[in-house]
Amino acid sequence: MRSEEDLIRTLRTAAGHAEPELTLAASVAARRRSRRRAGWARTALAAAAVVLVAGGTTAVLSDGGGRARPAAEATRGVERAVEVWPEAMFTVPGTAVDGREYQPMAAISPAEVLVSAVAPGVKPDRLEVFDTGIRQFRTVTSMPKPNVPGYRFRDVKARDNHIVWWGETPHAGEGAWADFWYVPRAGGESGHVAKLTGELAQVDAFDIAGDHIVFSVERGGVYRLPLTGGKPEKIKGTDGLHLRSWPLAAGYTAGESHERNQNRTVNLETGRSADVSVPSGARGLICGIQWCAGVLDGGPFRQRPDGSDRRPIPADLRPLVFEGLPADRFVLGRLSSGPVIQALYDLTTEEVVGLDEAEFGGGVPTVFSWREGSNLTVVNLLAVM
Amino acid sequence: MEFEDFVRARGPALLRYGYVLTGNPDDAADLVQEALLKLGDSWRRVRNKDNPEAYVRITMARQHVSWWRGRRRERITDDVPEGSYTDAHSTGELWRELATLPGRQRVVLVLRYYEDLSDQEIADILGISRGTVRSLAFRALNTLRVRPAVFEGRHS
Repeated sequence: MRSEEDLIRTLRTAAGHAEPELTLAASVAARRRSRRRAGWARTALAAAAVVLVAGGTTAVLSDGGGRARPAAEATRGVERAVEVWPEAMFTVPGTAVDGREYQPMAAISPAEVLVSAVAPGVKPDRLEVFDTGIRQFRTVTSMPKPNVPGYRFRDVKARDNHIVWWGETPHAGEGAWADFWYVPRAGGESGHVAKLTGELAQVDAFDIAGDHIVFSVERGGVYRLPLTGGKPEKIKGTDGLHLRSWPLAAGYTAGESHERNQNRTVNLETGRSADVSVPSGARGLICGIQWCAGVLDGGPFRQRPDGSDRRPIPADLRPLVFEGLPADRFVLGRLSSGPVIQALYDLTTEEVVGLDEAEFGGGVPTVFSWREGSNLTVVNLLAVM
Repeated sequence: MEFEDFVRARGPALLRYGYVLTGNPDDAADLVQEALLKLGDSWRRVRNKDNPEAYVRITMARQHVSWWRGRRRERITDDVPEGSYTDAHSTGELWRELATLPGRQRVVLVLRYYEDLSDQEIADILGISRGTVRSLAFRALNTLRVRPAVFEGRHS
């Protein structure tokens, strides 16, 4: 017999595989315009080029004229993570002694991974750290769960002596809220930092800066919030900016969220802003410190922020869009051909490394995992040499 | 918040939900678009009085049930997320079996286990009794060989 957890995991895994790459907003807008012009027109759907990347299915990529253009050569003979990155992989028991299931959430160093322990009630309720050096789990804290149906734990990070996580209610919009929680990295009792409502509840990225939480919201703007609680305060001059990792934030060209290009990177500590060189026709360009990746001429490409080293990425890798590049070095995508369905492209080595249906944590993923029997195999991106 | 901002901000989450409801990306995109068009038509009212995302999600669940009634199961499954070197109880196998369920049973499972709604909330959305929700869920879990867990009164 299977458990309800198997069912929940299946639904969530499937949902994670249906990542929109582009333009839902554009196609809905086009259909609304078209309806206004000509009444209900079923054909508008075809013209509007719905783009939805979901595993195994050929995505309909359109550049507006309906042309789908291949770019670089497709990937052949993808090697899997276990063959390419043995130094970054480890295997642990899949469940704790009390029967809770472990779910790796985030890499916090090359040797440490934050793991949540999930009770049969399907919400994570304990945070642990696995240290690969001593091969042991250490309990950090229990995670109080707000008594709200559908509340979701979204992302967790550790910096210096602090660990912070956040969650949100399932239905964004008016009445929705998000909240932040804090625990010292050494462990202890967790504390509720703040509950955010309205526009501030639409958190799209967060980090820890000294004794503050910093976060940005989907409309743009970066805020800081003391770990001890209080009111979030908007950081001056951050209108339209989205946090990467502190102190860096990204500015974008106008456009739909998955189409717009990052055109500058701002250091919020120094106030220095560096322009990103955006090639004409690029879409969805996202940059870290070292690298940028996006779509150009219908295919994925990479470059340095100053525009140098611009080259196509293997054409059958359809990038998933996150607020940043994993470990400032990788592009996560789905492969549209071959037996491997999920892969990381290493910007430094230009290798495509297969991950199959590995699960990953919230935010910009730094850790991937999959179950093999009663064990859990984990890839820590921070440990990739 | 304007309608376009809402679509931009919540579109990805709605597409994921649509995918789980329908089991394939084309139907998911159709379903989300239909629901968003409906929302767009009544945006001012919904924005001022209700929760737009809840409105869209409810519309999608209802729409999917009604679509299902009018359709045969043309596509048994999409090939997501098929396992390769995961264990025998891989999510892929269960995902494929989900596609064989009658539409209402699938919707009930998605609302219960993906949307995390109570049986009463599901009953209200689909316009059926709580007893019917339970019996649909029971039959679906039985077909999928999923053992219902008893905890926290979550579905009560």
